[in-house]
Amino acid sequence: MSKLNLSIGITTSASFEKVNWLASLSDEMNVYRIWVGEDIDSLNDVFTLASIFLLRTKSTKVGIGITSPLIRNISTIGRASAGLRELDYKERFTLGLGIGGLQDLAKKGLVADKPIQILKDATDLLRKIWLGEKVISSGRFNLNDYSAKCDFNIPIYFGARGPKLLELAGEMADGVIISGPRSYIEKATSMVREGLKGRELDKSFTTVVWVPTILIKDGKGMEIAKEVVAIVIADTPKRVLELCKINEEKAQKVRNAVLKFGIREASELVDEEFIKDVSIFGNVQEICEEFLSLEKHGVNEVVFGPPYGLNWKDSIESMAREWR
Amino acid sequence: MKYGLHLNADSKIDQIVQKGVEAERLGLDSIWICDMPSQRYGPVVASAIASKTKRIQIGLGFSPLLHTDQQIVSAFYSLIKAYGDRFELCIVAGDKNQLKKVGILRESLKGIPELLVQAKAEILRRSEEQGLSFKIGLGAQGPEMLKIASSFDCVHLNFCSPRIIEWAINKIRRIEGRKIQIGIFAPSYIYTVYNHEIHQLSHLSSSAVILGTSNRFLKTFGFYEELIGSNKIPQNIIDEFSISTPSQKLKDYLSRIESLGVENIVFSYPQDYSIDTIRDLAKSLR
Repeated sequence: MSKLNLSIGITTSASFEKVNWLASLSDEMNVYRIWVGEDIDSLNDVFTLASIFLLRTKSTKVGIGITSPLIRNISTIGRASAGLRELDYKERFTLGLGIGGLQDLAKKGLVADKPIQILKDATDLLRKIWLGEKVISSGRFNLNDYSAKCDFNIPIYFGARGPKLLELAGEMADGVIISGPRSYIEKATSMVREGLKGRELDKSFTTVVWVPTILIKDGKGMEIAKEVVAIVIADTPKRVLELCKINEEKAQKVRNAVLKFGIREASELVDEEFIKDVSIFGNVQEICEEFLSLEKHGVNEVVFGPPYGLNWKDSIESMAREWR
Repeated sequence: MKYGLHLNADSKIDQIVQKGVEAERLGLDSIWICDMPSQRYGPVVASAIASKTKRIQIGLGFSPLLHTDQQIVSAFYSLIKAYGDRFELCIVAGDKNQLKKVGILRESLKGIPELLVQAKAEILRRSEEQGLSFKIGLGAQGPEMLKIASSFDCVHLNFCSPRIIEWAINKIRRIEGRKIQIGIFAPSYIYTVYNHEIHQLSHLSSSAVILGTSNRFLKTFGFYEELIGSNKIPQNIIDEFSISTPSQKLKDYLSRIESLGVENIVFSYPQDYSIDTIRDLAKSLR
């Protein structure tokens, strides 16, 4: 249908029914890539889950989208990714790095000060580790003559929302995963392009858009987006919300509720306006059209789901079929 | 007695998987992966092996100083859901030199035994909440660790000489109605045809274990004084920590430790040096 690639998103909170189903059918459905997002401290381990997808598929690429270098020792991210890279000679694995959900980090008592420096340092260190260099680093990522047996590169995509991180993605990453309000996507891609200016690329840069998607059937389905929309609203920087003219007062209430009572309660504060602001929804044709409209902004890959739709199997299958 | 093989995860994953598949084919009961900071991430290696095997038990060694309790439970959740109930956990403090390389100073941490007991309790609680059930053991050596062994389902002792095993078993506090399985996890070289290079690796591996041992433990057996007074680790001390023996003598050793109450033994590096050394081991166990 298009040069734009259709991928499927899943998170570490997903049930194994979903994991097994997606792993068994993604090659057949011609899914470009499975993105595994990490919900911090949830059911599955993000690296183990990515390994299961890599081991059970032959052609579908697999990416972690994203994990935060703040929640694990950087060496663990390095050697886990190296293992995933080695699982498949076609080099289907990509690592997505980001600061992490602001609310999740806050709950763990982690402060994401200097996010630009964090991602810069983490990326530099990981690339050195994968090249088999002996690494010395102090500060947040403390390594002393550390090395792991590697001699390769793994593509790193940044998961970013704020303008500076988006620009940094253009400057140093191999790709970017953009999420956040729909009206922000165009602005975000131009921020990434700013970073790309003056950079000599030895291979193409990939721009991925991953926002909550909901397949509406018989007018039903919007309701199930509330929880994931609450997470997006709570994790989107205030400046970005302002740029998108999203009511900050309402957003702050959601943020507070996420921190105080959790996602389920916070989702009660999500109205239809919020859902429309941050998700792509409609019937299959409408979603495909909206995805395709992103191509003109330089987007190469779009991610469907979660929450997918009232019937997730049917929704994913319908999307994949329509996309073919 | 159950027999296991430790697979060193510092080579390419396909080579490790090949060895795991061979271990299953040869009838070994378990394979073990230790999540060392310089090696491939244990759960990814375990996942790759599990995807190519059917029945063999897969043990994973984890240090709670490097991973959170939830991260350990999440890895087990994914593995068990994908490949079934054939995973086992061994909690270890972790090699202090390796941990130092990734910014964790073990010597600056107080109360490591208590921390491991807490980690075990938390891992058990979280895994039960998810409906998971797997054995949780402890990798132990010195008296401090042996004191907490009764909080675990099993203990993996990092030495192999019968006199030290006997001493350790006597140190483990028994709780009525609760059985603790005793196991050995030691550098091994069981051979049919002697290879000097592999023997040297066994020597090195044993030396690394000895150098990571607490002074208190070394003093208990008079090793400390011997080590201080020599340039290299004396062979008699090496022999207390590694099983290096021709194939035909293995059974005698196994009978001896079985009589002490040892129920499982994991043959550690360099027994996994090659497919041939794994076959030598299997042949010796028949």
